[in-house]
Amino acid sequence: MTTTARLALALGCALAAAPALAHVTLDQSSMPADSYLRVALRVPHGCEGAATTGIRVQIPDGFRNVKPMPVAGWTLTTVTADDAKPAEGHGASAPVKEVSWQGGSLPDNFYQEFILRLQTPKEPGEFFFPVVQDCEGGKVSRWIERAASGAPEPRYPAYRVRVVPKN
Amino acid sequence: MRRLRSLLLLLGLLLAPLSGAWAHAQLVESAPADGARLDAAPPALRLSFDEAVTLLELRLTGPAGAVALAGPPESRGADIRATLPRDLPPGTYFASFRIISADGHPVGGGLVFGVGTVPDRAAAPVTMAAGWTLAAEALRFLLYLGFAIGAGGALFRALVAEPPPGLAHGLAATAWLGTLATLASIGVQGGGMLGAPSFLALLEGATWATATRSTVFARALVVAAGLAVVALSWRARGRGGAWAGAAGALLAALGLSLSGHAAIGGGLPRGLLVAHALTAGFWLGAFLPLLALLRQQGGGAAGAVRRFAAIAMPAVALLLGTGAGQAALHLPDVPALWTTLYGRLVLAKAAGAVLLMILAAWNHWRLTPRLGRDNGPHALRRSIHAEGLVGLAVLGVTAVLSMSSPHAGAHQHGHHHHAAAPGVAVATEAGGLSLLLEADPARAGTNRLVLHLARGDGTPLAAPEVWLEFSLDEAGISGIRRRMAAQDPGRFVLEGPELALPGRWTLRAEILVNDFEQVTAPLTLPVAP
Repeated sequence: MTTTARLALALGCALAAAPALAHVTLDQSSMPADSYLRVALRVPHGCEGAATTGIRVQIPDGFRNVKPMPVAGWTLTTVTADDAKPAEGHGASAPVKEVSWQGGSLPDNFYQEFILRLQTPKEPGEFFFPVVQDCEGGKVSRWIERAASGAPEPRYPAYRVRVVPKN
Repeated sequence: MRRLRSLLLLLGLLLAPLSGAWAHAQLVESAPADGARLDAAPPALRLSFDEAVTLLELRLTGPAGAVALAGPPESRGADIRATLPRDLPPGTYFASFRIISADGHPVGGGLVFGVGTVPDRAAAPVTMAAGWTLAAEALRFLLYLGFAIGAGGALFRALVAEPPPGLAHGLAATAWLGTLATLASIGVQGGGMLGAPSFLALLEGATWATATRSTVFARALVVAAGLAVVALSWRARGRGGAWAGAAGALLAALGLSLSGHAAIGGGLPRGLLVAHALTAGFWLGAFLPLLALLRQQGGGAAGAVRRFAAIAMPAVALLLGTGAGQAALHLPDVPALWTTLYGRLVLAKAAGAVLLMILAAWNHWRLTPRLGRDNGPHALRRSIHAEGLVGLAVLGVTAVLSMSSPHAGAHQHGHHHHAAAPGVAVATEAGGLSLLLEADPARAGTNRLVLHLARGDGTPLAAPEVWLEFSLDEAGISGIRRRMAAQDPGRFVLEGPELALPGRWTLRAEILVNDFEQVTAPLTLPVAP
């Protein structure tokens, strides 16, 4: 094998193994069941060049004790399972279904992470974290397309997480 | 040389994660713009992306198929420029591209523009389109006749009395007539979808194959199977034959609900249609057997007449109820009853039904008690004759009603049963939603697309956003995205030149159900030349 071929192979592997950095994603695609984790929501760009002004993420069923980390300059709100009542106090209250950071301004060429602490479901399985990215000028990118595994990657995929048995 | 290349690759590997904004490249501007209509052919095509891109493929498709570019496209950073051949003929052009953005993701997209005035090719064959519509309506009438007399007669046999043997042959023949008319309607549907220039197209296999893509196909097969069972059941004597005939009638009624608006609404409209068809068949199908029994047995038929009347009363109530229910489901508002063709036909049907009820009441309360007297059977027979004629008229109105559509003229807006011709309707289900897409005229050129969107339970879904992505693989066209305009709840419209070429288009519907949920469904739409 020539050096070129070896390098090309390495490049191919690097590209194939790299997470889909072009999208709004989480920093881990595989999580142990029934565990407390810190998860980062990565926002690598705006919507078609426009600065990001809001991030909303829907928490899939089964994830519990969600606590989002506030970000300076952004208004943090949560929506709980029993309607649109904001969650307060200890994590044992009504489960958080949606977390929203609004009112900031993240230019297209900057990068930001939004942090959640959560407890993973008791049972292993496959879950999606759909995210709505609001941007300046009323632009919206909805990272909500749930593709079956093996299907071609959609334009705006929802991030897929595999919860695996706890060791 | 090899070392240099290795070095470059290594450099690329190191720099790759640092460069760019990690975004899929987006097309931010183009000249001509997507959807533009130009007076003269443009000298070049220019695409501008929001970041540097590598062009993989750029294809231009025009009214006569693929268009060769005047030279290889020039790529400069985020811009791509392709020189176009001089004097492009007037028509609609598609540019489809595939690029690789900084993160290595291939991205496809496309745009449409028009040059000059596009001849309205849809206008020419209108006379023949009307011919296909008329043929479809005539066959629909024969189908209803076969259903009412054949399947209705079978229901009479199962629920009221055995008709005289002489009549059984006629009833079986009518059921066969309905079977044949239903099968023939498949070819007529295909001819209408293709916009074939003459009825000779019925001799070509492609015409029939085209119809298999329409919802009409499944309905025709099931209805024909049901009516064939009805026709065969007359050969079996006794209760077994009677119940086989009733089962065939039920199958045919279920088949009727497989196309049209009842088909996308879910359980409720389908159930209404099946009940409506069965009760109408029972009522109309009883005329001939009752007449034959009266002629043969005179006053001796009084038992059968009373048994019929006992079932007919609740059956007619159900018939009217299901008819009103369907009208309420399909008409957008009350004024549509007189402002649309569909509404007027509903009123005509209701008037016919009222006339039938008056005759039936006359029969029941005045003539049936007099059956024992000398001229009793004769008077009742005359009245049933009149009922039969009104019933035929109602069937004729129904055949037009179930095919009425915006093509008929008086129709302004709102719901209508989709047409078999000249438009095309395709249906699918995805993510618990049912979609019915109507294309008018479904011929190459400007088209009006109407998408009806309903939840599983049949209620219309007022989705916040609906997009269609057009592609035609055989012509290399892909990535044309258009947003549909919401009209009434659950009804989305798009009118434009996107379907400029004939062929099997794939329309990918993207339906935003709520902030976090999107349903996508591919629809295949045949577009005629």
